[in-house]
Amino acid sequence: MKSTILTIFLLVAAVFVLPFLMSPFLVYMITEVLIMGIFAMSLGLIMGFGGLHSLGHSAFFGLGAYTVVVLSQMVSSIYVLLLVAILIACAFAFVTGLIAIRSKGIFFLMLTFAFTQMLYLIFSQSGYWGGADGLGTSIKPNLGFVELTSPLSLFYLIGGFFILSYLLLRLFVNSPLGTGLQGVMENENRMIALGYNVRNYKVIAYIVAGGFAGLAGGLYAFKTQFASPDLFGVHMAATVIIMVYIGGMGTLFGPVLGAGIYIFLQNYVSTMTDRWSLIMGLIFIALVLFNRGGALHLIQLLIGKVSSYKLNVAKSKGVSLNELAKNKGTE
Amino acid sequence: MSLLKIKALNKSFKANHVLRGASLELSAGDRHVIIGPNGAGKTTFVNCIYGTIPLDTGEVILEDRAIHMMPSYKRVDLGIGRTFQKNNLFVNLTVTNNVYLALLSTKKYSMKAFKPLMLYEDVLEETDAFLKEWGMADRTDKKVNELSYGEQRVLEIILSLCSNPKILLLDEPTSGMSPSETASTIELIKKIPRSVSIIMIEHDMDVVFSTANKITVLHHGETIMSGKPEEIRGDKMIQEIYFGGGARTHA
Repeated sequence: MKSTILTIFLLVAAVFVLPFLMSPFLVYMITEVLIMGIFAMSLGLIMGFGGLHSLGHSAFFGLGAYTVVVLSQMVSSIYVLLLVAILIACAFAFVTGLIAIRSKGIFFLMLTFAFTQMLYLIFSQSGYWGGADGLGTSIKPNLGFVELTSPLSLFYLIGGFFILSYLLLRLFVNSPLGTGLQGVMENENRMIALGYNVRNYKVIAYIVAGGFAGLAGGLYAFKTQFASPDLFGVHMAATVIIMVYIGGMGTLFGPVLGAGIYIFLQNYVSTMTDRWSLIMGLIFIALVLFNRGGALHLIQLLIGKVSSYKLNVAKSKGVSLNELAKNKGTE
Repeated sequence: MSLLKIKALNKSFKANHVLRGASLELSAGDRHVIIGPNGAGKTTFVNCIYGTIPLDTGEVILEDRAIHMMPSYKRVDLGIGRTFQKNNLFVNLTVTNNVYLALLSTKKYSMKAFKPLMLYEDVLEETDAFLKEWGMADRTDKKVNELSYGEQRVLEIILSLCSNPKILLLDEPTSGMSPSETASTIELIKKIPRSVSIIMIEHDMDVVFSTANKITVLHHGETIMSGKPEEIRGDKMIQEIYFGGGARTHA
């Protein structure tokens, strides 16, 4: 409980303070990190906690973005726009989830991929919604009492949504339902033996993940004022998987870290060389080969090393472990 | 009155006719052991009772209610629990988390999404009580893959007891155990309250005769004999086939 409150406090403080410390470009970039962070967290939920490896998660992101762009011609309230974006993403997740969840592993991956490709074809071939060129809009987030126009206010808005999403997902993961989901990933047969209806778990997780991806897509449309069929492309789907992997599966914060690393590399390394994706690829390979836990796990290892080093120093000085623990508690 | 009636089960896997009219009757409180040589269809028999695989023909009746068409998870609700021949646990989760998962299902909390698990006090308390009672209190934060094989078998039994089963199906609870682990498992099985009736598959004759009050012999998918341990032990034909002429070996 204490750690949760501390996390909330740190997140809010970080979002509030960051813009004062950074250049406008950096703020703009972190806005993107936060959006992709929500997106990657939602995929991390079904991959890291549900064992569902989806190559079609961009479908929900794209649907969210298109919903906001298309509807913004008629409605201006951000609540309505985002709510509809989430609902449409959830509905699509429900329908495709019921079908895809029947298969596992590579077959699940290919099915989700096929559904997303279907959307890609529909959106790029049809005459509505701009076809292959995509569709632009000019929409500012309208909160009802105020319309947000500056990039800074957009950052705060998205920061707020990010914190909300993180907390909701954390609640979900720590609830009985989330625990059950991990059980399903660990050992499906045993879950059945314990009396669980395993399919419901997967479908619910898939819908929740779809909803948050839809939210991320909707926010993305507010940021870029644009939606194109590329959002449904292979590249987008693979990008978010890479984010989850390099950040660290099985945690919520890992994928966010992954999104951060990916976008920073994309922006900074690409100013130095065109081959930035080569570097990304090498990092990806290195992490998969040597550290499955991803960057987050690497950081935890480092912190662990440092604290165990401190412990050793303390031991050599003759301080007992109990005292050290007491000190830690009072600090 | 019998608690569970299993009538004339038939099951084929393609050309392989595994069960040919196997039957069994279980009264409340029974310790009913199924023996038979390898390939007799014992595990298939248990799987059919439990619903892991569908049967071809036959009936499974639990307290006047036909359950053989129900999916497994509904049978669990009605009071059938099981353990598996090979350990079937959540190996990357801690011991407590394993028990949580079992209890959440029993208490119908499993679909709750908006309250952290750590705030369900009854689940936490019962988990503690279970682990204490079965001698696992000092293993709570260990991951299952850090436990010894015997401890994992104990956890198997704990998990299946969490669903308050009326009938517990134990599929070779002592398989792969050392003699001392086997001995403690016998004690464990004896400790299971009489309100839980047991159907058990077992090869080890020491375990069979120290726990069973009824024995059914399965051979080529047929029930060839069913009775009290003394009757089975005394039967000439059974002795010939399974006990190798009186020697106490593996059946």
